[in-house]
Amino acid sequence: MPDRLRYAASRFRTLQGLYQVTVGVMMLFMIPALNLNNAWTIWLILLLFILLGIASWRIRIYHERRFGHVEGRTRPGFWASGQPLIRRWLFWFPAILVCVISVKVFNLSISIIVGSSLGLLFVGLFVTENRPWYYLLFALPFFVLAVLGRPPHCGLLIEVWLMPVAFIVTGILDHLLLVRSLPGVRSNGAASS
Amino acid sequence: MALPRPSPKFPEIDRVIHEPARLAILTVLSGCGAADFLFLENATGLSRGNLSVQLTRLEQAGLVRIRKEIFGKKTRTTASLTTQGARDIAEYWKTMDKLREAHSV
Repeated sequence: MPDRLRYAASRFRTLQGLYQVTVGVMMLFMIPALNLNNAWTIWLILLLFILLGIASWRIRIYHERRFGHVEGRTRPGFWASGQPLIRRWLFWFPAILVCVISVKVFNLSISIIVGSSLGLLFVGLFVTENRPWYYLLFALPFFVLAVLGRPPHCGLLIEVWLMPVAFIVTGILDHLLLVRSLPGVRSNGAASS
Repeated sequence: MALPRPSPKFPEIDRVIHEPARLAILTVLSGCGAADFLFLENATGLSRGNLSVQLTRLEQAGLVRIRKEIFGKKTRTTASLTTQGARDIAEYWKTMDKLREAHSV
């Protein structure tokens, strides 16, 4: 019990996966919009960003009304409060450095760079932001694509479509985990339905 | 016939914290800076009345600080641990861990 209670409170912000779902959905619409290549493209993209803003605003209100409000912990002392920042720096700085050096030294193809960068993004979310284990599962296909390559004439199409799908699925899983870790939400929902 | 070995001294447990509803509230608050009434209700699964009574009891014991603020057109009640509350709940779980270890040997 104590672990579940502490988990719900300490991970409340990172488990608000609905924000991530809206970003994923926007990316899905953005891909065909970018391929239109006409005068309407810029207006379409602008409209998508406005819709994203409205969706985020509605989700914030939904979270406040359904789950409540939690303030993050402010740890006393410089090292304690700077710990998350240091952890991010220790992960992202070497990761970006290795990527840049690999590109310069080994002259890697763009598909390897994109694939491994997207894979690194999901590993980074797991390592630095304490996201759940399934983020690692979504890193795997990107690394596999980077190493094994993709069918000819496919370009970066698989990564471009896989990225929003990964965002949507992980976001939904985050949201479900949040609801599961708050028993009051489940009982209130059952009572009201 | 061998006599049973005397059990080690049972550690003292804070009765205010040991009550399950209050323990749940303190544990939630130990995982964050502060939480409002609705979140505490959702996380602990306690009824509004029970949660209100237990929060008052914890505030009287000096373990929890309660803040009321106007948010939109509603009043938001937010609770956070006091320094003593944070120390006592950490101490409580340490005592529980020791008891568990002693039991498992």
